[in-house]
Amino acid sequence: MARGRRMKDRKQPGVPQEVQSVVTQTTKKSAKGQPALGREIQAKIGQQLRAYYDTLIEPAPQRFADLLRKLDRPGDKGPTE
Amino acid sequence: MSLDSSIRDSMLAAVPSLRAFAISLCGNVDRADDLVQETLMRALANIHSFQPGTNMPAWLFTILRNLFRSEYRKRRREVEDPDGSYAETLKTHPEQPSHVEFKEFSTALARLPQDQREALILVGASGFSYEEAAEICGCAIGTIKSRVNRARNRLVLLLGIDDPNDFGPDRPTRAVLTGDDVA
Repeated sequence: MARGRRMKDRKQPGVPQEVQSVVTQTTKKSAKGQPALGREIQAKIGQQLRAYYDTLIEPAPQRFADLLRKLDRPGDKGPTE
Repeated sequence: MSLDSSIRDSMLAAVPSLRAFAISLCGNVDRADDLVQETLMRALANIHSFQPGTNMPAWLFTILRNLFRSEYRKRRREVEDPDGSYAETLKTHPEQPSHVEFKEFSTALARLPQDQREALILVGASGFSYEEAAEICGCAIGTIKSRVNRARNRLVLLLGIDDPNDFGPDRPTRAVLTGDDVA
C-alpha cells in the first residue's frame, strides 16, 4: 500500500504518525491500542538514559559557588537588574 | 539580606543535576552554564518566594526550564540539532563500554520533541516523581505520563530496538524511520 512508500520517501527526520503502525508490529498492544513497551525494553532505555545523564554530571563548577557567595554578600546588592 | 547557609548549600547541591538537565535541554555546555548561572541569579533575587523545607531542586529546575523556554522561542533554530553534533559536545569516559551505543542514544534523545525529552529526563534521570515533573513543566500529571510514554516509544523506534536482547538496530528499518538513509 501507498503508506509504505511514503515512509520510504520521507526525507526529514522525525517520526511520522504512520510510524505508529510499525510500533505495533514490534511491540505488544495495550488495551487502548497504544504501544506498550515490554519491561525489559523500558529497563534498557532507562539504563541508557541514566548512563547518558551521568556523563553530564560533574561537580558544580567553582564559578557557581563563587557567584552565590558574591551575590549573597551582605551589603552587596548583587544583581540589580 | 544574607542568605541562610543551608539554603545556599541546597542550591549548590542541586547544581550538578541542574546543569546536566540544562545540557540535555540545549545541547551546549557553555549555554547550559549560562542558563544555570541565570537560574541561580533569578533564584536569589526571588528567594523570598522560596519556602524553606520545600523542594529546592524542583524550584530551580522550574526556573531553569522557564528561562530556557523563553530563550528557546527566540532562538529556535539553534536549538534543534537533528544531526547530533549535540552528541559531540558530550564527553564520554574512556571506560565507557560502548561509545557507539552511547552516541546513538544521545543522538536519538536529541531528536525527541522537546516536551517529550524534558519529561523523560526529569522522570527517568533527574530523579523527580511524575508529580514533581508536572509541577516543573506546569502541566497535568497525566500529560507528563503520556509524554514519557511517547518519548520511550519514539526512542525505541529511533534506536531500532525490537528485542531486549538485541540492542543492535535493524538498520534498514531504522533508516526508513529516521530518514538516515538520505544522509
